[in-house]
Amino acid sequence: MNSKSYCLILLSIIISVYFYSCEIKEPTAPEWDVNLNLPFTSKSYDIFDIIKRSGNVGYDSLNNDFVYLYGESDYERKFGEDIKFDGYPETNINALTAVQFDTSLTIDDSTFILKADFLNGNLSFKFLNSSSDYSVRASIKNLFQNSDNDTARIDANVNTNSPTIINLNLENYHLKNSNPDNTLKMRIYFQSASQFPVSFSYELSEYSIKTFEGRLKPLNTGISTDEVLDPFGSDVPEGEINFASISPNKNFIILKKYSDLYQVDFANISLIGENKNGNRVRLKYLKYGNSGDPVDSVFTLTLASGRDSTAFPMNQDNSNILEFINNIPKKIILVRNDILNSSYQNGMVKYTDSLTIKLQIQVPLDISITKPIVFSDTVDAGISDESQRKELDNAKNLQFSLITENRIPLKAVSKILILDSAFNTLLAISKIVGNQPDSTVTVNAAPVGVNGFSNNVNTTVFSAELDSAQINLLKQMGKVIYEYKLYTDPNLIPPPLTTVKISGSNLIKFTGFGKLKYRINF
Amino acid sequence: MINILKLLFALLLIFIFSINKLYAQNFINVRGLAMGKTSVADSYELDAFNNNPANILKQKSNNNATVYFSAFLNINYNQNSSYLSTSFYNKYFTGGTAENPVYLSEKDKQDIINSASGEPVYVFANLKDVSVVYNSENSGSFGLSLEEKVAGNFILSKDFLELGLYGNEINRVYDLSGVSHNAAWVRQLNLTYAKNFKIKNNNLIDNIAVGVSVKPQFGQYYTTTQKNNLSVTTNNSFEIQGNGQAEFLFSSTSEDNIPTATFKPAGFGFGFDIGMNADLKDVSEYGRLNLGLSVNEFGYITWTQNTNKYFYNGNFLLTDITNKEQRDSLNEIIKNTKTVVPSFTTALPANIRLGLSYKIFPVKNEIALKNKTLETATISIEYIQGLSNNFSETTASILGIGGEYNISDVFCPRTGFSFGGSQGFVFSLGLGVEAGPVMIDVGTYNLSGIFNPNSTSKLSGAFSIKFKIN
Repeated sequence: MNSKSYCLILLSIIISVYFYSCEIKEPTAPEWDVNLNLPFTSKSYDIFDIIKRSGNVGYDSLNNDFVYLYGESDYERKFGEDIKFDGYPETNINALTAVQFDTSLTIDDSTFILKADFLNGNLSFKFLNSSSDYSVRASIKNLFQNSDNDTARIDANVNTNSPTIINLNLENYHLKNSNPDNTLKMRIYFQSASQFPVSFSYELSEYSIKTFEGRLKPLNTGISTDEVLDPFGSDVPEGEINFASISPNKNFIILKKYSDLYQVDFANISLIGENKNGNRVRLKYLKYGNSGDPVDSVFTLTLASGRDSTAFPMNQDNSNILEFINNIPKKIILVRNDILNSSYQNGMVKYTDSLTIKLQIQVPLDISITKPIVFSDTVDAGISDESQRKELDNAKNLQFSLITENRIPLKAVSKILILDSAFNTLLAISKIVGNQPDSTVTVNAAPVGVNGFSNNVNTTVFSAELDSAQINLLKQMGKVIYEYKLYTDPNLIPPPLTTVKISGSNLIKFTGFGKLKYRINF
Repeated sequence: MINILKLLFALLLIFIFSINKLYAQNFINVRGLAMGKTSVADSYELDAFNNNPANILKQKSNNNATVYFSAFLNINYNQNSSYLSTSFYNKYFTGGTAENPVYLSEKDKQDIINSASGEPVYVFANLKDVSVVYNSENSGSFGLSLEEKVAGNFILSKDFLELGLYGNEINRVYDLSGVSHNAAWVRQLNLTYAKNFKIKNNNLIDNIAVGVSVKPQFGQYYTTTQKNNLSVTTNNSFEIQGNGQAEFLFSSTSEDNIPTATFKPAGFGFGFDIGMNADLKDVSEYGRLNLGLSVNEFGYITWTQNTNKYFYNGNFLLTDITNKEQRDSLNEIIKNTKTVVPSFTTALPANIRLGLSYKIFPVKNEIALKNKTLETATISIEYIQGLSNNFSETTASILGIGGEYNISDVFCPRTGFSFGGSQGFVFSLGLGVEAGPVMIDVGTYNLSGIFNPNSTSKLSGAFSIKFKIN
C-alpha cells in the first residue's frame, strides 16, 4: 500500500467520524403551556328574551318602546241544533166527508214564520176510523217539498175501524208564507160514498230549524261553558306581578255575530281567570254593560239586531280588570246564556250562524314584583365530539370573568347548574362565581328615573377560577339548568313611584371571558 | 494590465460595501466551497458544472486526463440559519418520548423566540448521480451530469412564535404575514460543451475558453407561500378577530402533494449556463492570472402536474367560543380549500459570477506549462450576484476570496472567506487529496462546524470522490 492509499483511508476515517459526530435523533414534538384569552360569551337579552315569548308581548315605539302584555280569549258558539222549538201538541179537528174545506193548523203560539227550513222534526196526522171507509186528499199550501218545490200533499185511504197515520218528515220540507204566520194552511177533502162525520188530529214534534225568517219568539239557547287556555301565552310565570295600570282604550269585551241575526243577549256572563297556582279571580263588569250600572261578577251584554259587533270598553272604573290581570290567568273560563230576539222583532237566523264573545286585554309592563317571578329551563348540553372532550384534558386552569351590564330595572337572582345526563350535579357555576351559600348570583337592577324607566346601567363583575379537575367535569356534561328570579328593587325606585316601566330597548348584556391555561401537545 | 487589475479591485470593493443584505447562495462545488465560494475563474473539470461551463476543460496544471467521472459520490449539504443547529433541534424536538415529551419552560420558549424570530432557515442539498467530462484533443470538452437538487427555506415571524408559544395577549395584533416557506426538488440533466481559443495579436488575453450548458430540468416537487397577510387581533373585550388570507402553491408528482420519487416529473423546463475563462498575459513570470465570467441557471420550469393551491381564509370573528356556529365557522377556516390551478412557471435561480484567479508556479510560466508543473498555490476572488429568489437563492450579493496550497502532488489544503449570504463573514476550509486516479475533496464554509457540528446552525459539508482516466 503506497502513501496515497494511506491518505485515502485516513481521509475516509476523518470524514466518517465527522459526520457521525453530527447526531440527529428521531423527532418527538415538545409540549408547552399557552395562555389563551378567550371570549366565552357576549350576549344581550331584552325583556322579550327573558320571558321567552314574543307572541303576547309588544312594545310601543312612540313611548320609549314601552313593553306591554296582551291577552285574548275568544269564545265562539255556533247554533247548530240549538235553535230548537217545542212543537205543537196533538190537536183534534172534526169535519164532514164529501165536502172540501180549508183549515189552519197552528204550529206555534208566538213564532210567525215567513220562511223556514228544517233540520229535523215530524208533522203527523192521524185519521180516525169511522163507520165507513173513506179516502183523504189534502194539500198543505204553505209547506213545500224540498225535492221539487211541490206542495206537500196527503193521499190516503182510511178503513173502517182502522185509523191511518201519516208522517211528514220536515227535514224534506220547507215552509213559506207571504206574510209571517204561525199556521199551516191546509185544504182537505174526505171522499166517501155518503156523507158522514169524520175526525182527525195533527201533532208537531220538537224540531230544529236550518234557516228561519220571520218573527221569532225570544229563544233561550241554554247555558254554555267554555274555556281558553294560555291567553297570555304558554309561559306565564309564577309569582305575583302588580301592574300599575292597564293600557287605556285597549281593553274590551267584544260581542260579535255572524249574519243578520236577531238581537242577542249574552246573559249572565261569568268570566273566571285562574292562574298557575289555581287562584281564581272573577272579572267584574257593569251589570248590563251600561255606564252607571253596578259592577257585578255576573253581567249581561246585548248585541242589538242591527249591529254585527259591539265592543264594551273596560277600565279600572267600570271593572276590576287590574285585579283580574294581576292574577295573570293561565286559563279563563266563560259561562253565559245566549238569548235570541228578546226584542221580538222580525229577522232571520241560520243554524250555521255563530256568536262570539272576546275578551281583549292589554296591560303595560309598569309593574312591581314583590314575590319573584321565576323562569327556569333545562337544556341538553354536552360535548358530543370525543376529540373535543379529550382536548379538555389539556386545560389546566381557567380564570373566568363575567361582566353583566343591566339596563333593565329588574333584579335577577340566578342559578346555573351543570349536570350529567342522569341529573347529578357536576358544577354549580353560579356558586363558583357568586360564592353564595344558596348557589346564586345576583344581578342588580338598573336605576330608575322619575318617569319610571331605567336611566342608567348597573354593572356587576363576577370572577371565578376553575382548576383542571373542575374543567374535566365538563366532559360529563349532559344538562344545564338555568333558573332566574326577577324582582323589582324598591330601593332603586324613586318615590312616589312604586313601579317600574320596562322598555323593549332595555338590555342586559353578559360578557364572559377568561384566560385558559392550555397544554399544547401533539 | 495593472490598471485593469486596479479597476477590477476597485469594482470589487464597491461591491463589498454595497452588500447590505446578506444571504446564502447555493454552492454545489466542493473545491470552490472550501475556497471562499470562488470557482468562476479557477474551477476544474466536474467542479465546473453549474459554475462556469467553460471551466470543464480546465484541469490542474499537472493533470492531462481524458475523462473525469463520478457516480453518487458527490454530495453537498448546506444548512444556513442563525439558530437551527443540531443541538437546538435535539434539545427541543427530540428530548423526550411520545408519552413523555420535552416540556418547554418559559426560558425555553423565550430562547426559541429570541433565536428563531424572523430568522430564515435555508437548506440546500445536491447529489450528483452521474457526472462525466470528456476532453477531446481537438474538439473541446464535453460534459454530462445528472443531479438531484433540493432547496428550501422558511421563516417564522416573532408574532407567529409568540402566539404559538405563549397564546394570545389582549389588545395586541399578531401579524403573521412574516411566515413563509419555499421548497423545491429538481432533477437536472446538464449537457455542457467547452472549447479553448487561442487569441492572437492581443496584448491582454492569451487564450480564452468558452462554454455553454443546456440543462433540461425535471421538476419533482415545488411549494411556496404565494400570499400571506394573515393577522390575529384580540381586543380588550377578548374578542378574537382574524384577517387576511394565505395561499400556498404546490406541484408534485403525487396527487396529495407529498414529495415522491418518480421518473414522471411534475414540471419540465430548461436552464442555460454560459461562461468564459480568459488567460491574461504578462501578469507575472511565475504566475498566471485568469478572469472568469459566467451567467448560470438562466431558465425556467413549467409545473404542470398536480398543480394545486391551498387557500386559507383567515377572516373570522370569535366573540363566543361556546357558540357552536362560531366554532364550526372557525374550524371551516382552519381547514384549507384545495383548488386545482393552471400550470405555472418558475424561474431558475439565475446568477452572475465574475472572478479572478492567480496561479503561482515554482518555475516560470512557460516551463510550468510545458512540463505540466503543478502550481504551488492558487488565489482567487469572486463576486456572485443572484438574480432570483427562487430555490433558496436571493438577489443579495456575495464576495469570496480563497486560496489553495499544494503541499505536494497529493495534498492541497484550501481556505477562504466570504462576505455575504446569511452567514455574513464566513471562513471556509477544505482539503483535496489526489491519489492517482482517485480525487477526494472535502470542504465546508463553517469552520466551527468542523469541531462542533452539533452546535452550529450553519452546517456546511461537501464531499466528492472523482475518478480520472488519462
